[in-house]
Amino acid sequence: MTRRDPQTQTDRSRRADRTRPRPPVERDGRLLEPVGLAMATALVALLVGGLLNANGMHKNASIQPDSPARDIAMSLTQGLVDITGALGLSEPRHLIAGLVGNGSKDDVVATVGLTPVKRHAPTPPVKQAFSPANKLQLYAGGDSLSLETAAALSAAAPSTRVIQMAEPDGHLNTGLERPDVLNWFERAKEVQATVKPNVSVLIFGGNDNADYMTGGANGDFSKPFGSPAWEREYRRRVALMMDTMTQTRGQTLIWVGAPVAQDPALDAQMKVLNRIYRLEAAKRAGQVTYLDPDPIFAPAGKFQTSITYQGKQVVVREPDGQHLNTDGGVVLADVILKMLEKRFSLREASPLPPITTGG
Amino acid sequence: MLFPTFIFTVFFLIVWPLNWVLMRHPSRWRVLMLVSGYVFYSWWDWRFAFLLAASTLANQMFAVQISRTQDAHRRKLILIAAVAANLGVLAWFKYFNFFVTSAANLLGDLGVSWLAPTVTTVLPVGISFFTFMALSYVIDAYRGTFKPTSLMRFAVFLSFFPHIVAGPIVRPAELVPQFDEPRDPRRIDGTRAFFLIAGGLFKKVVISAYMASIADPIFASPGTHSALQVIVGIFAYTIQIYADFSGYTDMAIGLALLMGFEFPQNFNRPYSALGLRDFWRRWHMTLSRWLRDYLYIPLGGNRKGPSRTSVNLLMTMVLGGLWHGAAWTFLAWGTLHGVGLVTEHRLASRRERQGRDGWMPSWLVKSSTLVFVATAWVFFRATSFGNVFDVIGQVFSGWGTPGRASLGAVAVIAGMIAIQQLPSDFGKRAMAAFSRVHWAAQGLALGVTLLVIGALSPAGVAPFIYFQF
Repeated sequence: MTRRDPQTQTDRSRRADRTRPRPPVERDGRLLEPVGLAMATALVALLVGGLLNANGMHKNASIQPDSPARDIAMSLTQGLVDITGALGLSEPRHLIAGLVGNGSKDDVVATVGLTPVKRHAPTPPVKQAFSPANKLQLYAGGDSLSLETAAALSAAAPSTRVIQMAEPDGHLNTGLERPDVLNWFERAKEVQATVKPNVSVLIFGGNDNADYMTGGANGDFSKPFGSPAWEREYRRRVALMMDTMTQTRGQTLIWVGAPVAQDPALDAQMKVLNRIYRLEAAKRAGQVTYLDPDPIFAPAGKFQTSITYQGKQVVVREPDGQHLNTDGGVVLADVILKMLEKRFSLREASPLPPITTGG
Repeated sequence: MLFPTFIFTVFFLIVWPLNWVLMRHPSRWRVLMLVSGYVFYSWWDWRFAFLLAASTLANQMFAVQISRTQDAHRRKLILIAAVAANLGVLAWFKYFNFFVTSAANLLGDLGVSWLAPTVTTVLPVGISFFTFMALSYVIDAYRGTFKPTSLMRFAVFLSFFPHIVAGPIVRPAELVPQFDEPRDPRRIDGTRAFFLIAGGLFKKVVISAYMASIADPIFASPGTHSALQVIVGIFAYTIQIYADFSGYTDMAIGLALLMGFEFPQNFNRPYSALGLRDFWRRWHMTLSRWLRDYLYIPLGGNRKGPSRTSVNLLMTMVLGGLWHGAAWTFLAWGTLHGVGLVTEHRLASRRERQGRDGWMPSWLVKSSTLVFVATAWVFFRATSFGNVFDVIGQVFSGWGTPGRASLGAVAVIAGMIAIQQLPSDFGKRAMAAFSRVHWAAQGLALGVTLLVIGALSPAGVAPFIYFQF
């Protein structure tokens, strides 16, 4: 077996390189560069960008679903945060974000900062009256399951002339389990301070089927989904939200359950959540109404993609088999508006104008 | 896997050097590209990989059969089968519910009661893009403009990760020959690549996200906003969709450049267009030329007289509208552009016959084109025709509704439109100057750009608008 002389091999490759045509040095006035230099430039950019954005990276890591990957990302980014904090490198990001009024973007408030509210007696069965001069303040929010319904309510509200709808407040990838991702308990306090809704519509459940919760009484909390300990903690959160959104006499909350899901395993989890919502709402009858979406979207008792609405066949579900689509949101909003019409005296808006789907 | 994410950064930092290391070993390089393309694509849903593989195998079979067959009639039959198969798959995933419920409701209006079967199928990401690329491979084989390559090369072409989910819609003749010729690692256009990636990232995660925060509430409830706010909302969406889509394709072109490959340009300052024909030469350019070469020209183009030209233009734009999604509003958007193009075409022909020039100054042509395009975007963005009429109606009736437009939004919209009016060599000069800076200083400048993007962006990455198409 013969061994090649490394020197000869290098000479050969040098000769081969010499025989290749020299590539152009410039294009459109730009200097072209060896790929190695481009890689070095990219690495410097990522290093500098990573250090200067360490706080943001740490927050992004912390709001991931609970997993070993999250733990690793948290540890790595915590190291970066410590270094940049000591060197003062986190300040530029804070300053720039502050310029656009978002200086607290990296803050994580993971506590369930609501205290139990003393419940008042249910409102006497007298129809509250609203008029164009005294509009019903409506608020709708929740996780991704709420997006289409909140948007449809918002679109329909002006034509009623008696309902004033706050900006739709649906947020993807959020829920009551993870206040570190979006703190709904703080958000409820803000809504009560700013919107002061007569009626609130909340829809949750899409992301609340995990074992892991942040913001437990003793820090983070992980018990099997649906277990008694898990249910105790989740019920506490639901109860706090319900009581906070109805803390003023006369305030009403419509809590919409998660619609039937196509995947049986997911649907079983949604049923666990819906049972909790229904039970907690029943304890607050008169102030909180649980709206079961299944009779609307699963009239045959099982998942279906389309329903007949106003005499037309309408596709109401997203292809993921879980969320309502735009038309599904319109249908649910229509049901909610009819509930309001029944419950309150809505002068100059009776009957409420029909809202139509896109199909 | 989305480009502006940590996981993609890690993925690219592995694939990028390997791409160059294996470049001189074509067969190993092709394996790397195929694996990386499928890993990238499967990140959304591993089941989609089977669809991509099936599309690759089927279209390779069609193209090879066409090239081996001499009989013209048989070649045509194979082509028809290929087009039907590709469009059939697209129709199943994208249009089935739309067509069957539309048919059921039409029958219902005629007194025939029929509950159509509907399905819940998740739309495979990028299906419209890779289906169009696969179709151009088969059609080019039929036309004899591109000889079918090996299955492996075609599979690499179709699954090449920079373009697979949202284009640009690259032709086989543009990319496959580049795969066969090893790229030279001594001279790559790094500066242009970094500009495209950083600029695309800024457009996507800062501009598009900010514009969405202005446009979304206005489209959700136009009736609660003043006319001025609604006008700003319409223009905010006009900027959002440009920043979102062009931002993505800029990143795709930049990433391909870092790997040594050139993609065709996809956007060229579209809001500086002088008329609709000019707009479509500047907006989603690779789709425009696909529709021109594979739909408009085969329909007869402008070779069969003015009336037929108008019909062909209209059909092309209506189908182009439908390509974007299964909704009547997309169809209306395409029709609106089709009617606009036909009108413009006819007026231009008449002026040519009469030997006259256009009487409008260019600033007025640009402005009216922009207003037309922005108005048409209302159909594209709206959730229903009711929503379209609410938005446009509020522009006329909402002057008494209180509400001030956001000055920040107006400034960003004006800035984004103004940038597109700059001479085209402005960016070239900036890149030329940047390329002469020391590499470490370049890295530092790009790192600071990442800081600005990170600090100004909202948390998380919003989905790209064009992924749903």
